Amino acid sequence: MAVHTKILDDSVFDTPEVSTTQQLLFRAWERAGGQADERLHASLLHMADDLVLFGMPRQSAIPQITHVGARSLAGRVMGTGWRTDLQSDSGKDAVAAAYLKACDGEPVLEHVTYETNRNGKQFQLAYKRLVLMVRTPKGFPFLATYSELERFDCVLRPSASPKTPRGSSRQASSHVLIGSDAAPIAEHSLSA
Amino acid sequence: MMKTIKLNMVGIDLPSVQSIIDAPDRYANDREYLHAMCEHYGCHLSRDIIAVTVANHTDVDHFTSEEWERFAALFGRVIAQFVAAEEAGYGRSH
Repeated sequence: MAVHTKILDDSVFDTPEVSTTQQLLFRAWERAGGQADERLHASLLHMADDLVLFGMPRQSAIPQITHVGARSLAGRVMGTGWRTDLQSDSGKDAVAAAYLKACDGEPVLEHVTYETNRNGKQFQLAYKRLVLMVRTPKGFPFLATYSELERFDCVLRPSASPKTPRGSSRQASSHVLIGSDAAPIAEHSLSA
Repeated sequence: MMKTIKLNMVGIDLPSVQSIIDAPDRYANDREYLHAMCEHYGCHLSRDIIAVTVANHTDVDHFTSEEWERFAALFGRVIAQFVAAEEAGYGRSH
């Protein structure tokens, strides 16, 4: 598995590069000063199926997942039976950067590309992830993320079967939104 | 049972584990414990999200036993993360 991330400049929030939903979530968060007051509470609860929530990073700067919404990108890719521990990912430091920045109270929008192999298939995803630190009314923090898929490719590797023409490795590739029964990628860690 | 649940929730890498082992139980059951922790951390949003995920409503007192079991397991993870955050010094901002 490989994860590459690029944190985008804050000014991007004022551009069409950010989706309408991400804009709305960011504005609601900004209006509430990052605190889960009544309005932000209602907004986040309304969006719960689209969100992935984390605790705060500690020690090794790795936050643990506490909720994966069924409609969230992570939920659609790997289901909601998530793991909470970080696997040995090649891009974990890059992924953690967004969480650490969010821990300072800054909104983070990052562009993520994610590659993994599963059952002989190579999956490639590209998406934009919004990471926000939210404080409870008692002042304790957690992280909320909302991701929007930009690209999803599934590439089948060459088969040993004589029926498979040599060289036709790229048997499937589509830029489609993945459904709930999509690729069984279980190696999820921080790229939710 | 309470101590087992709490230990599973906080994980083995936190200094609070020994204090949980040593401390007398202050709560009669898991429900009381989770409720008290929810009030302490103010994490009603997380509680509601987990409740809706589990049972499509937020009236925890009317969960079935199956719904409660799942809710307690999932919300226990949330509480564990707040405990860890507090121990890591992320505490209150005001």
